[in-house]
Parts: sequence; C-alpha cells; structure tokens
Amino acid sequence: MDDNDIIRLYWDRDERAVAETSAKYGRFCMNIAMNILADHEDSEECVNDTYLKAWQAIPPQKPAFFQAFLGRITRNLSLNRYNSRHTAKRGGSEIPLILDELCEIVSDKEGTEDRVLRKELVNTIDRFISALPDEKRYIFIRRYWYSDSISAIADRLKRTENSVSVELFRIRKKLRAYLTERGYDI
Amino acid sequence: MKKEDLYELMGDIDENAVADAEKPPARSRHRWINHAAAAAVFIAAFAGGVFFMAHFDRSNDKKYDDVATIPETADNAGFGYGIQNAVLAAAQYPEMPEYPDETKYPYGKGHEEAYSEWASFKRELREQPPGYKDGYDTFFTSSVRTFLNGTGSGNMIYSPVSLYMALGMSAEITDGNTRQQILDVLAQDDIDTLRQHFKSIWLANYNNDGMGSLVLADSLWLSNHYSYNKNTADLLADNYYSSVYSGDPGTEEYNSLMHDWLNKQTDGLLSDHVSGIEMPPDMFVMLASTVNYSGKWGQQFNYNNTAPGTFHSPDADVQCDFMHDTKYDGLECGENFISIDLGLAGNGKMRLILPDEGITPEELLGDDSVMKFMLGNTNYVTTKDVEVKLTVPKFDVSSSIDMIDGLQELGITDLFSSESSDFSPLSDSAAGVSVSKVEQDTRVTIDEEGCRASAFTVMVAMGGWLPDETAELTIDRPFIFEIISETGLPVFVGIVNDPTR
Repeated sequence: MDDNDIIRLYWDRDERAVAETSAKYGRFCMNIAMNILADHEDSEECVNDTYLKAWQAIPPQKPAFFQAFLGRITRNLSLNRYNSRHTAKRGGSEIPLILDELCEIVSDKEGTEDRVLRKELVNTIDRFISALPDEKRYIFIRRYWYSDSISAIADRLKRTENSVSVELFRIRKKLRAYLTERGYDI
Repeated sequence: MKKEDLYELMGDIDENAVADAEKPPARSRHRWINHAAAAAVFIAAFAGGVFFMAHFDRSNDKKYDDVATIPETADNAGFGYGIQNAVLAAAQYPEMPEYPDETKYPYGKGHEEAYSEWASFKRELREQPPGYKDGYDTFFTSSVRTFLNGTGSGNMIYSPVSLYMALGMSAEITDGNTRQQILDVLAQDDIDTLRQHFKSIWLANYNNDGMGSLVLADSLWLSNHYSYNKNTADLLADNYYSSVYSGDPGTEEYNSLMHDWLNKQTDGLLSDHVSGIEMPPDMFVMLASTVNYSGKWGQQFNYNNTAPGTFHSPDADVQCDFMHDTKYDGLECGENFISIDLGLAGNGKMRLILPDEGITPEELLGDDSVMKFMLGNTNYVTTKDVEVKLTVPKFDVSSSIDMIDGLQELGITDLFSSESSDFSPLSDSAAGVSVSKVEQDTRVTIDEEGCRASAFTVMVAMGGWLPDETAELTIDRPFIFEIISETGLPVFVGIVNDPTR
C-alpha cells in the first residue's frame, strides 16, 4: 500500500492503518530497535509502541516521509528504554561502541538544554552531512542514526570493516573541526 | 555536551537524508561529477551598488571645453595624469582558499589538509577586534527607516552595508564639517575609528570560496582634468579595498571601463541599471560601492513543489509561483509579526518577516523592537518550536533609490552644497565641488534552482518526540526580507509588495 494511503487510514481513524504499517515497516523498525537494544522482546515492545505513537500523532500530522517518521519514533523509544535499562549491561547493543566513538566529537561535559541552540546544532550537522559524498553520508547515517554495526555497513557496501572504521574516524574528525569552525564548543 | 546527548540529537537530522540511507548509494564512476554539478549551482544571488558623483559648480566658471588635460609631471608621475584612461590602483583582495568540495577529492585524499587550510583562513578573517561593528546598529536603524519609506505598491531594497562603505570613503575624501556630518550618520567617533571598523567589517564578512560569496567592492573614479592628492587615493586603495581609476569623463571609453567594473562586481545582475550610469564631462570624482552576494539554501526547496498561487499586493491580487516546503526551524513571533530564518549554506541566512494582517511593512519598520530583532536581538520575540509548512513566493525584484534627499534628512547636507563642501583631502583645488548624484541600485532573486530532486525538502523535527504543534506560514502578502551575513551583519533589507514586478 502506498504511504499516502496508509496515512489516509490514520486520518480516517481506520485501525487497518496499524496493520498496514506493521506489514510494510515492521521489519525496518525492528532492525532499528534491535541495533539499540539487542533484545528481541524489548525491541518488539518498542515497535508496537511506535505504532501507538503514530496513531496518536496522525492526525494532526501528515508526515512527508512516513518511513523516516516511524524510524525516528522507534529510535527515540528504543533509546529511552536503553537508558532506563543499560545498567543491566546487556551485551550486543551497538550503543556503547557508538557512544565511545562520539566522545571524539564532544567534550562529554554537561551541555546546554537550550532547544534553540540544539536546533541550530542539528541544522549545522545537516549542512555537514549534505556536503558529504553519497557513500560517506550513507556510512555516517547508518552508523549514527540507524545504529548499524560496522560489519553490517561493510557488508552492505562490500567493503572491509577496517575501511569503514577508518572512514567513520575521518568523518568524526571532520565534523568536530566543522563544528569548532562554526563556534560550537560542545 | 554529553555523548548521549549528541547521539540523541543525531536522531533529528534531515529526514530525507535518513530515507536516502535506507539503500546503499549506487557506485557509479560518475557520481563525483553529479555531485559537483549540483553543488556548483547557486539558487540565490544578490547585488547592490551605490554611486556617488561629485562635480564642479560651473555656473560661473569657464566651460568644460576650456579645461585642458593635466599633463604628467614629476610630482604626479605614475599616478596616471595625462593618461587617457588608466587603472591607478587595483584592490588586492585576500586570496581565499576554495571551499574544499569533497567531490573533488576522490576517496578523500588531500581533503583534510584542504579543509584545515580553508577553515583556518575563514577563522582568521572572522577574528576581528571586539567592537568593530559599533555604530553599525545606529546607522542601520536610521538609514533603513529613511530609505525603506514610501514604497507604495512597489518593491524597495536597500543595502545598508553598501551605503556604509560609500559614506566611509566619502568621509576620507572630505574634511571639516562635511566629514563630521558623515561620521555622525555612521555613528563613528572619528576618522581613525571609522577606518578600523570599515576594514574589520570588510574582512570579517568577506567570502569568496566558490561555495558562497559576499564581496564588498569599492572604486574611485577620477578625472584626468584635475589634480588629486595621491596620498588620499592610496589610502582608499589600502584601507578601503578600493580600486582607483583615472580617465576622461564623458567619453565612451571611460564610461565603458566603469560599466565593465560594475558589471564584473555585480555578476551582471544589474546590467540594466549600470548602463544608465554615466560620468558627465565636468565630473570631479565618482565613488562606486558594490555588494555581491550569493548563497545556496541549506535545505533547498523541492522544484516539484513549486506551484502558482495568488499574492495579495496592495493594489491588486497577482499570480506568481510559490515554493512550498516543510521547515523544522520554528518560528519567531513578535508583537505584530511572524518571522522565519532560512539558512544559506556557510553564508548567513535570509530572514522573512511577515507583518500581521492590517500592518504594512513600513509600519513594522517603525517599531524599535522590530529593528532590534532585525539586528539580532531575540529578546523581543518568542520562539515557537513547531513544524512549519512554509509557502514563499519566488521573486526577482530590483529597485533604484535616489539617496540625496534621504541623506540630507539624516543630516548630511554639506556634501551637496558647492559652497559648504570640503573635499580638500582629495584635492587642493576642490573648491566649488558638490555631490550631484547618489544612487543605489539593488536586485535580489530567490528561487529553488539547483535542487537535486527532493533530496533536501524535508527535515526531521527537533528535540523531543514530535512537534507539539504544526503551523503554516504562507507569505502571500507584503513582507520584509533581510539578508544577514555569517557574522550577523544585515547586508540587504527589502520590502516586497509585488513579487511579479
């Protein structure tokens, strides 16, 4: 079913919307949740909560990119769940590794909660990403948005894990320089 | 910032880029070329110029035909006297490294070094002494109100920075009360302060890296029939990045040289206006100051979303093309207006200000809090963190302002009086000189050209889960726009009453 048709079901308050969403994007959302939580049961709950959130948000919203809209909800839900349970030290999640990598960009001190500043920072990161060549942009987003493992990214690109790691290292270094150049002290 | 915060914040990056990353990119050997071609297209270009022309009051003087070309002597050797048309000094601009477009560095080889060089160069330019913009706010407020007044149903664009530069150079070539009146309007304590501030503003805002541009250019046009103080002309070249020319005013060749310079500095955007500027035979000096700006939207508009619609001009409804997009940058809400900022990649931003219904743009500009907001003070607005369905007209508007009345209203009067003016720093024989023409021509265009399909049309909402609310901003009635440089300096301000004119 076309995304617009699914969204129309949400607007019509037709419960088939959830079933259609699950059929089309269930696996996509599950992958994101699993990358973060590394636990099938928790991930499944997050994906189900994703449908609930979508049901509550549409209407009034009419997402232009329905897939990314759902993925963002799943990512946030999974991250919240990870934060509340990470003391359990469950293995397999990419998050500890990703956070270690992100340490190269930030000071890891308490930062601003100012939403306007955060928004500016996101816009700046967007500009940085948009200037990257396609493949580098793909690697960056797969790692830090989808939370894919390095081996999964390497598989998809038919490259070695080492070359993807090196690529990510370079991008992080550039991003840090890019942000510093624009006056961000994060 | 905590690493966890950064990871969370990454969740809000461009939704379109996220969707693109669902599948690996095609590994085409042509991908570098495609990317470069897209990056090379600019979607917005702005240009403006101010022309000052001074001539002798010859009502009681001998006719111009009697004035002989000043011969070259030992004193003025090398300064061009006696030469028909000559470039006496060419402004030397900083040699800015080109923006290190990754597409030109296959597999990233050499890119890091190029990026470091570019970034450190930009940083050096931006690092100017504290307070270098002092006075500009005062000048901006008074001059915007003066020159963006009485637009009627037409469009009016004004570049404060262009007039600032032309007045700055005028202060250098004048003295006494003539100079003081200019310094007062520019809100500068003395000529030394002006000189320092001018140079800092010029350097801090200079951008010509191939990605975007903001180039402020000045030139001084002398007549080879009169003698000038070489030191003053040199000072303008050194401190004001001004080129200096000498020639025979009124001749086709000299006008042509001037037209070429203006067209080159404004990328030909003002060629229609430029062709109407002529140096009369009795001209004593002409100053030309130009601003040339171009930038690419940070998040480009989707060409496919552009559609015709109705814009409610003061006189009548008109049909024009509107660009549509969803923005997640939020809105700034003032007492009588709503505003949105559209980022221009690495080169500042365009701010669109829509007055509430029943309020004209001119009335809004009379509000002090609006002026402060336009100068970067956000204490007078409330930021609403919402998803915005933006509708904005494409436009290509230009205007020509005769500035003499406005400058006199601001307090600069001696410059226009052959009896009171004092041009002694430029020439010992400058008695009876007055400025007869001050004109600013400006053109601003915005559109969605350069969009790569729908690659940059939609962004993810910031922070939290989902936007608390959505808003629509439809700019279909007269509005104000402002082009603000990366350093926060307002470079252009305009009122668009009719985007089709």
